[in-house]
Amino acid sequence: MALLEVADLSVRFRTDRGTVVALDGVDFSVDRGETVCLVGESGSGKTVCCSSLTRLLPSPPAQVEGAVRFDEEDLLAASERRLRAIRGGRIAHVFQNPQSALDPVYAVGDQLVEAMTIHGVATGTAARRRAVDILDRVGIPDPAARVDDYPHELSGGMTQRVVIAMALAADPDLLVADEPTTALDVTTEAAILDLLAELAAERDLAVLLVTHDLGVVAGIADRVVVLYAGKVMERGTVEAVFDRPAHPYTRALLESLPGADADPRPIGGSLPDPRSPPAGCRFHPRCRYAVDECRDGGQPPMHAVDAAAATAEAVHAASCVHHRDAGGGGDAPVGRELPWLATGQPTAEDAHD
Amino acid sequence: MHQGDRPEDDLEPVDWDALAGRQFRVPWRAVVAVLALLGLGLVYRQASTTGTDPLYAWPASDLTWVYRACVVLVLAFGLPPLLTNWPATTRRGRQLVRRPLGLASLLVTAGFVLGGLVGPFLVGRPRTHILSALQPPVYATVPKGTVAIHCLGRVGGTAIDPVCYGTWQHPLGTTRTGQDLVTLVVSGLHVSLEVAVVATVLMVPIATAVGLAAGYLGGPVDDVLMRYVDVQGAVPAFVVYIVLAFLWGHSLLLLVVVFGLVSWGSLARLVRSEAIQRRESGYVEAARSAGVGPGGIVRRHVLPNVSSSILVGATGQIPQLVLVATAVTFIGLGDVGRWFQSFGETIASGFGLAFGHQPPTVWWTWVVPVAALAVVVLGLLVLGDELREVLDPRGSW
Repeated sequence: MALLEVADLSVRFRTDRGTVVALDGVDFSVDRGETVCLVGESGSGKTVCCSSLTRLLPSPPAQVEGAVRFDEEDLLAASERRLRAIRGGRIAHVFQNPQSALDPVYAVGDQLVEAMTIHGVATGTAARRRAVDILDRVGIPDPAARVDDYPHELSGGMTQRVVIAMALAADPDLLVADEPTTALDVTTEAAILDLLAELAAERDLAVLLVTHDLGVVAGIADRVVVLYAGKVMERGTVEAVFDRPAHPYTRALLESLPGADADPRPIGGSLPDPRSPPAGCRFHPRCRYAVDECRDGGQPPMHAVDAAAATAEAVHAASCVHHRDAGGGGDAPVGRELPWLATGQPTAEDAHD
Repeated sequence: MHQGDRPEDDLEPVDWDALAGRQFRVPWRAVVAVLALLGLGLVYRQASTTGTDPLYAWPASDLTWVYRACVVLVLAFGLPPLLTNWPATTRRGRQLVRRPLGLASLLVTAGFVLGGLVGPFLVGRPRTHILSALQPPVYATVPKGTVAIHCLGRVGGTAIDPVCYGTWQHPLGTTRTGQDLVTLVVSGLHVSLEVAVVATVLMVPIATAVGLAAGYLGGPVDDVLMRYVDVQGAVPAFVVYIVLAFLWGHSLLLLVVVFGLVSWGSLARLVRSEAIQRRESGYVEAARSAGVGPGGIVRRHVLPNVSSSILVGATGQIPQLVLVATAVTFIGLGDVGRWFQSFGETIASGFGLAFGHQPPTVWWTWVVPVAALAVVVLGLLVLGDELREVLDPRGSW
């Protein structure tokens, strides 16, 4: 059983100008010890997805439906008290802007101690010692001195390390990181990603990393889930999705990366209006390979792209009509419509590392 | 860069089954405050039965006792945060004194507080001494015989128009009843300090609690609380005092209590708007995602971040309170027969024509208290402005 199972998650916001559909029937799962990346453009619903896992979205404007099963417990039906025990204690969050995630009037050590005290991990001097240990573990130099520093005295990279330390203070099972490196420079980003990978390996920590940067995905992910306009377009292992992207949107994303072989090609058009998404496939107005079938009938269900998958989670599937017959064998007539899959050529090399 | 490679560097695994429940932390500050108040209560009982006072040579008024209790509370709750966070306090303090107006207003306010606090022990309470009536301030003169019947200082001028010179015995002169004006100014500072402290101790906790609840919780709680604040704001505190004074007699204590309980509305609105801003900030979201409940978030994250605004708002209210108390005592609606005279009474008697002297002739009897009051009020107002500049967390470090 997967550690986190999201089934048919939908999040709607009622506003004066109509109902905004942020997520519409999203499914994915995260296993213990694995790193799953949630990829998508700005506005695809990634952040809403993260916040809705532990019901951090304020509920009157947001309507959350579906099921979020964490260790066999449905979080959407849990009491607020139970959720507070889970938040931080078993599911921890890391946010995008580290400077704003830290309270400016408290020293860094105090905030770590608070995270520990809330979940009964340690108090007093024991907590302070543990705080210094954790700071050391996330790579803060001279942690005994840094523990009394204020957030504005730390650089961006160090602040993000502190935020990661806070997230790990109560020894959670799942780390949900919402674009943790977007605000950092590339060198620091690489170091933070290495840190996350190490921590995940040594603590058997499951990581759900949300990002729009495919380079980050290639570097750290075990599996990928591609979101567009609130729906899952493709999911699979990182090798499968990067080598043979099954969905035109994923292919377009990879093509839009600057690389050695070709000039980057941006995807024309823009995200659909979340209040009135297009009928049929959400991506079809911007898709180079759209056919008549794409234009109505709702989003196509996830079709398995290759049937020879070891486990259920490793199935490579895409929500595209072109894969509708690909379930059984490997030589379905997909190649005609999606040329890059037919030629068997790998996509842009620069997507790897 | 880090040493997480060796197994012994790992953190001990947490035994979740052994840990249960929340840790209970003793609220030391509250315990100390309660004990101190109980001690004060015992002293009060002793003093009221024997008719003496531990500090003064005369029995203290009710306002003074309430003021003492408020001082205990201020020291118990206001001082520790300043001390535990000493580097931040000194940093802000240095920023404040680097500004010329900040330094000036801080000195004036310090003078006000010190004068009100220890002044009475140094100069005693105002005493009448009819033989010293209407002495002018030092270096000033006044016609002898017509104004100053007796002259304590040098007598000069001509035989027909003798003038009396002021002395250092009464540097600011004396009143009609021979009370020394320096003592009266100190007395006025003392009364103003009592008024300021008691009213603030009443207003700030109520305004903070209401503002935080309305701002952070929002929704129906916010609506109900703010509608009440609107209604309360429509009732002038002064009118409430007049009505209650009619029932229970005039007293400064009643005035201060009425103001403390009825004028906290604008401060509550300020706290509410600050709370609404902080509610949306990243660290509140991070705290929620770490499992902190709403009480913990308000107490530990919202309150400290709005505390500087509360301080600025409170320092803005104090000058108003002092002026209102002065006005009320000026028109005679304050206490009668208190050992300490407020500025209002001093100014009123200085303006009085009971002895037939026009105010300009005996100008010092009212110019001195008015000037003292004006300096104190201005100092407090400017200090409030300067504090706002210095404490704004969105400003530079």
